[in-house]
Amino acid sequence: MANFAAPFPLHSDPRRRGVDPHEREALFGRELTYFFHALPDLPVGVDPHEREALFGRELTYIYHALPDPPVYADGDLCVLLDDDGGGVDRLSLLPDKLLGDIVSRLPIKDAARTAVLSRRWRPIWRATPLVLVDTHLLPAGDDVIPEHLDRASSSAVADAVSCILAAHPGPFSCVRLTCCYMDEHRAQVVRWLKHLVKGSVKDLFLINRPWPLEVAPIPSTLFSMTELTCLYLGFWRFPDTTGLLRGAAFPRLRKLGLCSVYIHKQDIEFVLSRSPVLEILCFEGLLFPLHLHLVSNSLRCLQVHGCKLANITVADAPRLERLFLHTYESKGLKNRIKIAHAPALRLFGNFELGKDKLQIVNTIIKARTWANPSVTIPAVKTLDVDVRFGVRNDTKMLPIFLRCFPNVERLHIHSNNTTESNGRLNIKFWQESGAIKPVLSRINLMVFHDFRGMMRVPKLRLSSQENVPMIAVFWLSVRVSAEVVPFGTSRMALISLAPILLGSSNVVHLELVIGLFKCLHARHCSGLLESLWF
Amino acid sequence: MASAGSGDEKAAAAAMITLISSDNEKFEVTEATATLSQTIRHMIEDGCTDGGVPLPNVTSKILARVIEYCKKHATAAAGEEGSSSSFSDAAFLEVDRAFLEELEEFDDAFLEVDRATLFDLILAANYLDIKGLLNLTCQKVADSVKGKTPEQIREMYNIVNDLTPEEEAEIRRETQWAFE
Repeated sequence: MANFAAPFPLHSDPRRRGVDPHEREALFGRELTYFFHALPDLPVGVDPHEREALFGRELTYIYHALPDPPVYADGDLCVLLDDDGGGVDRLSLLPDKLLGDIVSRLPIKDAARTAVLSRRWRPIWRATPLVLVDTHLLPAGDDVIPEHLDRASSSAVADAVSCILAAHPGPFSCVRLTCCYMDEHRAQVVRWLKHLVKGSVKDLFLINRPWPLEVAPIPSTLFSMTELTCLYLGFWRFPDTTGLLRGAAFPRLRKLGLCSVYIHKQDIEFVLSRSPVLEILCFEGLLFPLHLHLVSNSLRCLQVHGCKLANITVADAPRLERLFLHTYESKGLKNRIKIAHAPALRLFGNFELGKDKLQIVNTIIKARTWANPSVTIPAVKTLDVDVRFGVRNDTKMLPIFLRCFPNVERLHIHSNNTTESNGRLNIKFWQESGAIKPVLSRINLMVFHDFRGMMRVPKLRLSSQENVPMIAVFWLSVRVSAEVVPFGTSRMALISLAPILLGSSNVVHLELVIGLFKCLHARHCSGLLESLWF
Repeated sequence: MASAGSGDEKAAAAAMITLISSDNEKFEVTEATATLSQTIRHMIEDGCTDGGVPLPNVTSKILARVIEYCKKHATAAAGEEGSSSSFSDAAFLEVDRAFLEELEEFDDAFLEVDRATLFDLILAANYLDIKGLLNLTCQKVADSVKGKTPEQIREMYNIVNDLTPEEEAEIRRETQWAFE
């Protein structure tokens, strides 16, 4: 802390003049109501147990977003080749450092139990940085975070966590808590956080189980954990940062994940401004609409997944390389993504033409936006776009959208499921949007994911017309999910495309995958692929 | 460009290091392979590798295995340096994934050794400061004791329990949650 010089002027923090606490509270109340109404899978009136079960399923999305734990329980299949190793105890002869290394790779119970092996082993566990993954404290003791958990197990885990954090002198290299209804153990949680501060915790995962559904505030002790390098919070209300000391900061934080955390727009900005080395920022299944005004000199990756309607402005992010988005369907309301300054952005992903709106500096990309070099993001090399091919507006927007990324080398196209269809587009349309060709000419990898609805599915047409740009290297992979393409004729139709492609294109790699079955896999085909027509 | 490139390659090929095992066997390896060991990397940086690097703590049998590991992983390390590690496009390129799988298979096969060799490899990896190999071998030992009772572990590794029954009972009481 002492030698940490803030790279930002501490005095000119706009938050200090911030929002009135009553106003914040009112806003929280409004948004909470909004959230309860917006939960589609939790119909009011169903049996409480059933609701809890449904909610458990919602939680699993968050569990999937967490990075893998550093220690895993599965080791039973490991056998050593010789039976007795010649009767010598070579393990205990290893230096302390190496015994500690081995202990730090064990699930928490196994690790602590090594203390009773012999006098040699007694001090090892306590002298080794703590790795605590609380799923290993459950009776099953495996790595899976359970969807449902009874109160008795939750209490047992909470008690064990209290014992462990109190018994181990630190440092704590990783503490990952996902198996407690923390609202029921508030006093314990407060103590945990104190221990975590004392133990200089580095990687912390604090994933609450909120049931009955409540979004409890997390103690602001969090801001004293100055050694944090990785922090994931789940189902908490982020503390109000208005009252915090000016020096509050996460000087070593590199990775931050907020999973269904209620956080005020200004608190996100506060955390960003106080995390000078933050590289990865993830928002997962956010309960409330996300509003993000991104200013960061260090951030390299921003991931927004399973969030409600988002309004994101990348105002100034000179090192931002990756921007992943995947937002919820929200009727009629478009997500606004504004990119003002992101000169290093090379991956921009999962933009949905149907529901996302892109703004580059001051220009909103619309169907009538003319090609203009100032309205481009030239650094982007990999682009992922969702198109509903049955919807005319989407298909019309595609070339206009692609023009904003003149240097794309890898293009991923997802065909989004849709029930609406307003007509099919003909080849004339595709030819008219000729401006797309220079873009296509730079592409060397193109992947179509999950073609849907055979009647509207793209056809790849080829002809031998002159003056058509060569697509230098073309890697075409057509994947079709089994559930969207029924057996029979439609599959056959898709497969029948293959010879056309093979015979006349410059495709170097063609993969046709339908469901689980790989139908075709060919490399180094020759010829000219004239144009792609959808 | 082309000539400069091949010149570099020649320079790299010329930079061979001789490693000498405890039983005086000599191993010629490329610098890229040798520098997976931080210990040897420092020696090279300090310019004290002329006439070979004596490794009095490593037998020829173990050194041969260590070099086998380093050769395989040196190619992987070269790839990683180009792209910035965790931000590589592995998720988008199946080729990379295939290579990683191959490396994993190599590691699995590499670990099929008897216990004496395993401990020799751990000590060699520690002495030579080869992070990947140390992780791999320590993980193997950790995996072998997971889910086992203290009695089973003692039996497996010939550990003699020199704690008095009172001491053992005390430890069990202190960490009761670990024995439930």
